[in-house]
Amino acid sequence: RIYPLMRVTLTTSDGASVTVSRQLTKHSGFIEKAITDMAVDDNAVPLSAVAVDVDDATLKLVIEWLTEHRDDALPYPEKTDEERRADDIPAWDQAFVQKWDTKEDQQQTLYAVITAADKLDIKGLLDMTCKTLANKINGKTVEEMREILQLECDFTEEELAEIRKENAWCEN
Amino acid sequence: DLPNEIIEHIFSHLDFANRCRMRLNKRLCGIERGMKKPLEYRERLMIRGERSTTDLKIWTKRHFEIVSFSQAIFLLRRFSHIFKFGTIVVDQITILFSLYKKRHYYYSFQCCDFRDRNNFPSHFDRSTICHLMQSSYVVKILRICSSLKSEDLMHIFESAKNTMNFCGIVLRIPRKTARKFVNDFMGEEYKVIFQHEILQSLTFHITCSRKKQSYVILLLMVNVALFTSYCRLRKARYGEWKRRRDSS
Repeated sequence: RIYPLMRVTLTTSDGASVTVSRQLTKHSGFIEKAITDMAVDDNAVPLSAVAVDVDDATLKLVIEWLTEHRDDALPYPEKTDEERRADDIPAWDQAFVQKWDTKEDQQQTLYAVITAADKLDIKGLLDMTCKTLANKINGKTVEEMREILQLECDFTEEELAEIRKENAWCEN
Repeated sequence: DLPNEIIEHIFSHLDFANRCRMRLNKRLCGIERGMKKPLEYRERLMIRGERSTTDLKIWTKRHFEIVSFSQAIFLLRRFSHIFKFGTIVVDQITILFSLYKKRHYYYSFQCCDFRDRNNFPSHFDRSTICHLMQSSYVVKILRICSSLKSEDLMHIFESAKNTMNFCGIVLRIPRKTARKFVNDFMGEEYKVIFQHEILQSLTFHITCSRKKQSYVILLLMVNVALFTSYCRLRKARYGEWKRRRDSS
């Protein structure tokens, strides 16, 4: 179903407003549900407003991704364990993520987009960003993983020894 | 912090070795422990020994490591923590883990050790077997588990009955242990059947069925295979192995 006439105004967590085509927001389960809950008649009301818990900068990235993927088929195909793979990220998406890597807070940006995709229920974007993070982690040592994910070790000495023993075969 | 569902999503894109390493803190450890997802189709995990060494080689698609035999046994527990196996078969010196898939697709995990073959079944004690049962549908241990006592068998039998989705176990145990198991724990009506079976074919089957969610009837089968003469067979096999070794 296409909604050519209707546009949606998204209000970000930092107070900014962005108006986008309904053709883009159809990929977001959260926004679609919000519009449905408002019982908006698609043809009669040309504009509706939805508040999203995402900051302005992140929402712009999300909209950029949605614009590129506006013609993607819906619903997003659920993949089984057999079909799931991390090395099939489309070239445009790879370039899109690569662009963030030039920023100082690259990790934060990736985290923000993952969280936004989760909050807005955009399955395609969530899947792509999770794959990207998985690919970043893949093949790294425990210390490198800890650095990438910025996680503190809260194991006791005994627990740490146990995990090291279990992981001895796969730790470099 | 990313929510648990997203961490799980990321975990699902990692191979086995990376998932092992991803246990970076208590939270991730808990998430990883709660996941029971099989390996992705493109990953093949294999552990295999060589004749010239007691070391074992572990392969995944992107990973290659050499571990000791005891480490491999330790990994066996680890694997069963992470993956749901369709069938676990321990045959001679090979452990074959099959992750049952639709469309007849299987993964295998093989573990071989040519020097420690006689000690191999001793690694499969009561707790290890029960642990494997919780992570698989069928467990077959085709080497003689000489360390098991009749009370261990009873415990395994009860665990099998109480473990959801578990379909069957096949064990090989010394004849004496099996007789004691029948005498100590089976009712009179079973004793007659089992003693008859033991005398006639030296195997017996314990079969019972139950309903799961009113739709699926699971067949719980405990098949305890006995050896006619444990010592004689073992001696014969040893002789055979020695002959093969000398000839090679």
